[in-house]
Amino acid sequence: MHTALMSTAGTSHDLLGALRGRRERRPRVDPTLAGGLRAWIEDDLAPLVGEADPAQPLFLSPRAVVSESLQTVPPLSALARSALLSALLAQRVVLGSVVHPMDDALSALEADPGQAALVDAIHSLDPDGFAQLAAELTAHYAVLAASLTSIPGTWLPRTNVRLSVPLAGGRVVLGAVASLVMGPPADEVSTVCLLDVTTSSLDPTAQRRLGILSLLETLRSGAAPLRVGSLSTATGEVVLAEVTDELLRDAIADVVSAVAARKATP
Amino acid sequence: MTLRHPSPMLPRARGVTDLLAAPGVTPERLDVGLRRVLAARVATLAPGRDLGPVRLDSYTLLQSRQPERSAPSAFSWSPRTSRRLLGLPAARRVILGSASNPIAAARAEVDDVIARSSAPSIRPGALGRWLAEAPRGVLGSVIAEAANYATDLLTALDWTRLVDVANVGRADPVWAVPGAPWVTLRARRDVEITLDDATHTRSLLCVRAGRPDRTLEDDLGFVALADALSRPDAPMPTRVVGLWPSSGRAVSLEVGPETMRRAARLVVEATDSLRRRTGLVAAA
Repeated sequence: MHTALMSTAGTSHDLLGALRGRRERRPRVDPTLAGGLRAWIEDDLAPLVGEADPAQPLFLSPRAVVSESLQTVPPLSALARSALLSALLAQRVVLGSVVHPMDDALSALEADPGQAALVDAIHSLDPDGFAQLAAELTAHYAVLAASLTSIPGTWLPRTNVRLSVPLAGGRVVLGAVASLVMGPPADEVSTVCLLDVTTSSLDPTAQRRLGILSLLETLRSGAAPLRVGSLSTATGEVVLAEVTDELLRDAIADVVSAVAARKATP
Repeated sequence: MTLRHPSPMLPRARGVTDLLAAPGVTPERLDVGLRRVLAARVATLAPGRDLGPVRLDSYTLLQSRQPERSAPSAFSWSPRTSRRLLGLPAARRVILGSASNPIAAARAEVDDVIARSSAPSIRPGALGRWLAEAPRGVLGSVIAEAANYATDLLTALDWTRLVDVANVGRADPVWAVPGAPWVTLRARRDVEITLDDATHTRSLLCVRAGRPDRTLEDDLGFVALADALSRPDAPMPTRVVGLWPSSGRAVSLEVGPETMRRAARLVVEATDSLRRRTGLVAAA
């Protein structure tokens, strides 16, 4: 299994089924893999960040790693859509349904002090802008609901999971928020699946970002995940990737290149 | 101080369970002199009773050493601030078999807390009152955060080995300072494992957010001290294991007399810092 699978799932049933796959075909966990990957990435990062101050770490998300240029701040509408949809994803997974997408999502954001600035910005929209955002959110949620049918609680689904792996003595922090994680921790065979839900369309870097997400989970949990995927609620596109040695090797190369590029950019 | 790490070659849950459940060395009690001196120093340095109760836990201890940036914001309930209070009992429900999975357990726990909130003894501002009035969208986020917390805890350990010796989500041990009882030390720990029933030796597990940093020994050492102070009839905890699910890290602090002396010094420094800060606020 050395070739990453990249495919588009057509229906909702396909997405969860394709992510989990058939139980008897799950690959065995290689207990030496995570340690080997960590040693490799630490060796490559050491000469790049050895003199950096650990008190001011370089934070890298999957999107930041694969971006050619330094990131710009997304527009308010994109930030708002993304945060609101994340709240609806959590609600759908734990309550099974969403009745009023904008009301439910906005009330969830209002209860989170960390989102106060975004909530203020949403409330500052003029009536047309607010109605536009509500309509867009409803459309995004319709795609999400069609793609994610009810997930059994026994699959241990958790939403908006924060992953944060310090590297090079804390000088680099690889971090992400995984929209949906399913499956118990791996013991003998790979069991964990991760899904990234985005309100943007999927660009050619989607699979590389999934590689970074896989690397993060491998370093964090000590076992490679079974499968990773990305769902665009803008277009309904899905990208799935088997977590292979090749995908993880490419992810390490991407992280090291990203750190080198930022070192070269004052 | 001795730090130990789980074996990297074992599945993570097995490695952390081995770390937590390893037999302890000869049980040792907290030094009576240290207890007495600590109480006297804290009582002397504590902010006045008129300034309200002072609760010292790992968070306030570490915050007291940070430069003061701005006035701390008032506490409010949120999915984040309620996740441990709901997630721990949810995990206990799954371990005891009264719920089949963390989401079902978190929903049941929220329902119970709301049902209890109508009792006259429940004060305004309590978690139950907030949940009872929360719209559906907020409840969704609250249940999701609690289920994540419970899942982190349930998947971090091999419960088949611990179910008879683990106490999950029991109230945090609290020690009120003799001579200044409005000052309390609270050990924020999530699981207590009985290592030996006869000698009352135990190890503690603390689930923490984010990733470990250089303050981890202070955090875990404080938990050991507060736990030992609150249990004068039992030996000091054998070890305190910190678990950071977001980064997949676990570290065990093996507890000894030096751990306690260092933690006691930090408590005195934190009390002094709090007195100066609250004094400044009161003067302003």
